[in-house]
Amino acid sequence: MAIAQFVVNGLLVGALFAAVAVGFALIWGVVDIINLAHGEMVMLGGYTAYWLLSIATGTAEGSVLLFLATLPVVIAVLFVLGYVLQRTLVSRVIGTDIFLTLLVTFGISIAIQQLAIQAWTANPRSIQVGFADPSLIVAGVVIPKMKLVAFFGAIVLTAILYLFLQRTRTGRAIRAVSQNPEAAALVGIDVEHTRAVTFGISSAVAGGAGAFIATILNIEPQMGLIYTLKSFVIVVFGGVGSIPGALTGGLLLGVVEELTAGLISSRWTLAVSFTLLIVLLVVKPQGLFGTGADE
Amino acid sequence: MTSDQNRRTFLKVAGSTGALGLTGLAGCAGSSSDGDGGGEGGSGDTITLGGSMSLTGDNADLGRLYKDSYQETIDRINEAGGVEAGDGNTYELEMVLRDDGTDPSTSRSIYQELIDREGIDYLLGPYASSVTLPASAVAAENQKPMVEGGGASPEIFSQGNEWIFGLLPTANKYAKSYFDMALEQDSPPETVAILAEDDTFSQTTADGAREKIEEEGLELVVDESFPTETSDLSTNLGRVRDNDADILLLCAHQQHNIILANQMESQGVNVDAAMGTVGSLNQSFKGEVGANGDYIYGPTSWDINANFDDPVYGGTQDFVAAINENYGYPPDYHSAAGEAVILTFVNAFESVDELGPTAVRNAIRDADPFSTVYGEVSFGDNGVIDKDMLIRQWQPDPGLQTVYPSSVAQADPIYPMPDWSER
Repeated sequence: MAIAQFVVNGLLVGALFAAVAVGFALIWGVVDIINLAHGEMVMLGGYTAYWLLSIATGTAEGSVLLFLATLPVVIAVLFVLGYVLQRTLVSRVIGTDIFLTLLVTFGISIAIQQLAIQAWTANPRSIQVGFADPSLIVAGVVIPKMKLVAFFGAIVLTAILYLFLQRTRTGRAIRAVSQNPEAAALVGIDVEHTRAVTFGISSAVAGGAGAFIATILNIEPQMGLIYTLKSFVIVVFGGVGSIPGALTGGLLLGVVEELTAGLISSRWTLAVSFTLLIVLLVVKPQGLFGTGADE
Repeated sequence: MTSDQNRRTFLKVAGSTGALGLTGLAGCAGSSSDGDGGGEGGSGDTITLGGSMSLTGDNADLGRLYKDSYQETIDRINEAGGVEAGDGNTYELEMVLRDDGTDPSTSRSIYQELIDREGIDYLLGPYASSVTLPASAVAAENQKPMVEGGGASPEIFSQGNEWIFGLLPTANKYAKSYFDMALEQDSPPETVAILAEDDTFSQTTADGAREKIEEEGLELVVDESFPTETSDLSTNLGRVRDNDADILLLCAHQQHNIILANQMESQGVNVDAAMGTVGSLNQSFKGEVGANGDYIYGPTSWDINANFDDPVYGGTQDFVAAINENYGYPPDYHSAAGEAVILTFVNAFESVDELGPTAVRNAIRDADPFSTVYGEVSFGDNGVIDKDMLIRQWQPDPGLQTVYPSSVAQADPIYPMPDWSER
């Protein structure tokens, strides 16, 4: 029974990791940039939802519907931010040395963190979503309702992104740019615009996940790094550029971490997940979803 | 981009990210600043107390609390006629306090200079454990007593240094009063759960708690440590629930207190009492968790509402009024500890037959408990104040209340705390 509880805990939080990682995998696959500021988009999404609710209710408390109503705004704000960041800063280093792109995105992450500390202080914050009865108990397994909402929210965000890439014209343009930017340009796709849209979409999904994280965990200006690192692990689990891979990788990472915390100790979670990362890199370097991953 | 290239890119990136991450996590040291100012050495009818303090830099706001408190206390003592020392003479007190910018090496050189050039025999400690530790070594090398109210790391007192006396309870005492309080209730706890962050301070707090649990014959049913980066305590809280712990102790900082309060609700964890060791008494904690923070306890070394007798001010409330009136802010435990630093020296000066660093050091060490605005002061063998923390609790109405010990309590603890289904 305890193991069932650990697995459920892991799946609930793993879906959020996955929603963060899909954006990371997308930017990597399409723009060919490792975005070290991706975790900061999660943080900014959390703060945007927090402040929207604070403005609406006076305190960062509200019903689940009120919270969900903030999501479109969070997604729009983060989309614009991602788009502008790509157009003004990141686009200038695309195609140069990989270390230059890393330094630029790392610089952006530090700048955002510091600005956030200046603006909102380093105090951790959280959004309170009210439920009459905060958790469900199914066969002895406790499932907090807000975590369940966040789980489905993260799955929906990931699914929308997947469908968007598969079914829409812009989605097809994004995939074309990821496969061959020169050929995409030849057939009339605005490559720069498409890359910026990709950056915007990735930031928007990360921001949406950040808003959910603010309701079940908490947010603070320096929370981003750990989400960026987790995204790395997930992308290796799932395969670069693969959305189903990132979803599976995220759920898997959540379950592995919670099982480790439950059966051994929380102290071992990071060590175990990064050891798994190394083993996977050696044994199955193409990721769980192998070469079939659609970049 | 092919998959192979992606892998190679990943390896390069993972390596550099790790390095960058570590750089970010490594933190940075405090900045340096010069010390200036001046002061006379001890003259015939004056005793000079000297020290360094964080008067600029990151901790300047806290350093000011000590400075103001020292100055106010010394002024009052002098206005009342000075110190009637045990050698039969009456002395005025004088203070030389120089800015160390919270930099340990600046602080060290200030102390050395105060001793060598100014001939100062009695040292006021600096602020923050990282500065106090090296400063206390200067005191020991030169055999001058140092009394400090700004360093709480047990490391300061584990060096066998006989010249340092500290007024802040060390981390291992943070949880002790919580158990004492719970054990005095009608249905005292039998089982305890500890969740501890794996930083040095929290682990030391947890060590102290484990000792106390063993001493009291309680059963430790959950004892888990988690990394500072942990943002989800659900699995650990599930353990607390499944093992039916009567009371819960979280040895961690504010971030984890917020997670604890919220996840206790969402996970339906019902215990008789729950305490966070650091950051659970801040207004910002309560602001973030709202009603989920009700009934949570926290420790403090001093309470502004307490009323201890004091030979200089009369009592704690007179001290609070004096600081409020003369400096325009309410004092906190730093200020009260600062007052007790001065009184520790005064008490020793009054009890020695002849003034001198060794005699004063011995008098401080052997002093019977004496009352100050900070509470009763006396020191253990290692030089740390023998003082227990006060326990405060967030009560739904009227809010934060001191609930233990009963001599200073504003209200009885609400124990056991109501189950989530009854709130």
